[in-house]
Amino acid sequence: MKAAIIWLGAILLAAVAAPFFLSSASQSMNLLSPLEAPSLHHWMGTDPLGRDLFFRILCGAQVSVGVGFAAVLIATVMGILIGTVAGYFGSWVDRILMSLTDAMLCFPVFFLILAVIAILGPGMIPIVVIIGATGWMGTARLIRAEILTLKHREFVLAARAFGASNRWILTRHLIPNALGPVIVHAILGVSAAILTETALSFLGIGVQPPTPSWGNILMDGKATLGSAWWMMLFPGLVIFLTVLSVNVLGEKISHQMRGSR
Amino acid sequence: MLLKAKIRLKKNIFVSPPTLLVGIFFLTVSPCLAAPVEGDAFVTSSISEPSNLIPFLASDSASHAVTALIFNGLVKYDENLKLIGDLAERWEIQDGGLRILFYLRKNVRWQDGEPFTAEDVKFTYQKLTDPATPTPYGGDFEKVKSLTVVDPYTIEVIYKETFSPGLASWSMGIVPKHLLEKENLLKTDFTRHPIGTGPYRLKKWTTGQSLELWANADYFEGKPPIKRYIYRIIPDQTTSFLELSVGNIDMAALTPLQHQKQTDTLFFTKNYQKFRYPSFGYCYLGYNLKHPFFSDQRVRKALGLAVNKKEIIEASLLGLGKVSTGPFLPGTWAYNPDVPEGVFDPAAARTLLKEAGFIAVGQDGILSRDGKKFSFTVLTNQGNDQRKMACEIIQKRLRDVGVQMDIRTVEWGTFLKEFIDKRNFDAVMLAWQLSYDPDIYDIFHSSKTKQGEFNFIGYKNQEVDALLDEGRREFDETVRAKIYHRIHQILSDDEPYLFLYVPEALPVVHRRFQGVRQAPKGVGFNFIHWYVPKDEQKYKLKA
Repeated sequence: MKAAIIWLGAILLAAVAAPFFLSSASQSMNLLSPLEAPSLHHWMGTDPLGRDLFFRILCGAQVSVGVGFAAVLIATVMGILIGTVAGYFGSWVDRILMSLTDAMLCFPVFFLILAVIAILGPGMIPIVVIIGATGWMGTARLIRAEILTLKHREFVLAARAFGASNRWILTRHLIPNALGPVIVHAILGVSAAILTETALSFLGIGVQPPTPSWGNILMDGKATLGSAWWMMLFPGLVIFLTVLSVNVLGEKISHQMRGSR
Repeated sequence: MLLKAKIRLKKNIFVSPPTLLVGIFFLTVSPCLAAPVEGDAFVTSSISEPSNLIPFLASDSASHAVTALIFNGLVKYDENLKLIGDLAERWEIQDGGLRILFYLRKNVRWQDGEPFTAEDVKFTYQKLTDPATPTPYGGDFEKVKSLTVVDPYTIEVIYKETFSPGLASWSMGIVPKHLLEKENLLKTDFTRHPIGTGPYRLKKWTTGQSLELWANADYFEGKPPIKRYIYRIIPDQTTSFLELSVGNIDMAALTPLQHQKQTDTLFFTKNYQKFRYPSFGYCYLGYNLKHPFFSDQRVRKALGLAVNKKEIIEASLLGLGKVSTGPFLPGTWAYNPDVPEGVFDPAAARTLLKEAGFIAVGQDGILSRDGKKFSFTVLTNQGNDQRKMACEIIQKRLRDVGVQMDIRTVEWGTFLKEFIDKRNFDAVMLAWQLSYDPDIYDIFHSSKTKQGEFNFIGYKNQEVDALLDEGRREFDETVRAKIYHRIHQILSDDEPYLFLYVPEALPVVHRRFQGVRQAPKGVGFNFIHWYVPKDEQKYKLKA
């Protein structure tokens, strides 16, 4: 648990700070030293264009983790809005919104993402928006279920008896009380979003060069498989450890919440 | 021919050192000349599946690789890239090139036993020129005025005007009239069950997995010794390299990285023979000449000066390539050796851009003209690491002179449909695979800029147009060479493309195959004569 937090802290620091200090270092080519094995000078070796892999992975954190968090933020906000409205107002509003949710869940999301990128073109913003816009359904269902149980509880009835408006009840009573499981869900969503970004970049339709992201570093490594082990090992390891840490953290929070209820 | 060499060797063996060299060469190749043994299978792979096995409907390389084994044209290129007879035994060019008489072989049968005759050639021609046939090769036959069957084994072709690529265009595979006469070419089962005159016959096609071809016992040049030709479909290059690394594939094209760094293992040197020779194509950065910046020749020249081609070859091809100076290949007769390679001079590039009205305004050092920043996007296809790396190097070099270039990689189908066909791009990084005739009319003539045609950058130059027309009318190679040398010079001065490099072809072939030879046409041109000695045969055929 501690290790997970320390790792995530380090990655977040890299995501925030590295692009300011290392952006040019991560893109500076040295065509005279392509594919150098890890050494004291290049901790994780160099890529086929002689760029330092360690710097590239640090800078790649910004894209990969940034996309993860931003996409989940969009997904969570959308999920909360849709789920709350559906759960609170019920009847036909609920039926329409939940049908939409079910329809979206039936969709093969990854292919939807591929199609949208084919039309809009790749880039960080389209990726964030599309991962976010296709990832809200779980949150919506979760929060709707919470709202459905909460809205008949005494404190809500009391607020209503005092003449509180719907908006007041929703923002002051219902949403804050329903947020717990949503937060856990969102944390786990971050790891899924990081993996989606990695997969898109690996397919070459994510963030475009020279900006590094973990996925496109990994893709560059595929071609050198067998002659430059560091090209796949280090980005793969970083992705693995980050996703694992996020999941460990999510599990832990979820566990504690269940315990406190 | 061999006998002659032997006699000469005996006569002159002590005469002079050069003859001795001939002798050594003869001795080293002689073990391959033992009588070929039948049997075994040859396995190769492709990242894509053939789309159509009717030769004139096939436009992708996978389909071509397979149809070349099943069908024959009237003529073909020999190992030294000279046109020789294939289904035509010989031909006569008359009336200054306006009339060609083809005399066909008489002992040829279709793989279903029917005899091949002049009617099949006429039928193929009719289909090729039928507006209902969606073939990209129809243009080669537009200049034909008439085609007449003189007798079952003689054909007369009359051209409207002299057309020098005309003879080579008859290397198009001929299809059987008796099987296709009543078929709709777009729906026929023939595309998956083709019958040709060629050395191999399609036996089995498992969609998404493989095609299996068997040697044609009645082939007019003799039955090929290798019994089976297996064409596996492996959509991922890394996977196919892994298959090669365990010996499951007999021939493959390597990437420079694989050639230089991943195939020096004991297993590879023991089992595979590596080849390298210039490929028949070149890679270029093509500018959309409708773009306000790229329509200015000074801008194109400046970008050329800002890019170091040698550095790109060193880094992305690991040195396995040559600098490209124009649309022809070094060493061919159309290539003009006097065209300079171009220099790498960023300072000159900056001066030229300044002359063209570009000034740096912002903090970022990016130049702009009339308030518009010099930033553009170059498109390239997915899956080609060398091209992507070349793009990244160019991106850095252009940034150094104040030009912002973004890179976008696009899937091949989308690339053609959404960007090339619709002319929706600033610049593209692509390569041309060239035919052996230097006619580049389709690529640079101003009449070829319509949708679906190859002059997608919109290049228009009256002198080049006139020269291209002239080159097509002229038969004399020395006269044609002068014409193409001039075209080469103009295109190098005008720089509608930034000509980058001619990559090397890097095939490997399993060592158990005998008779494998490299020629100007590459490796594999004499595949039908390859064989495997009995004790080395790997695949046994169950009867």
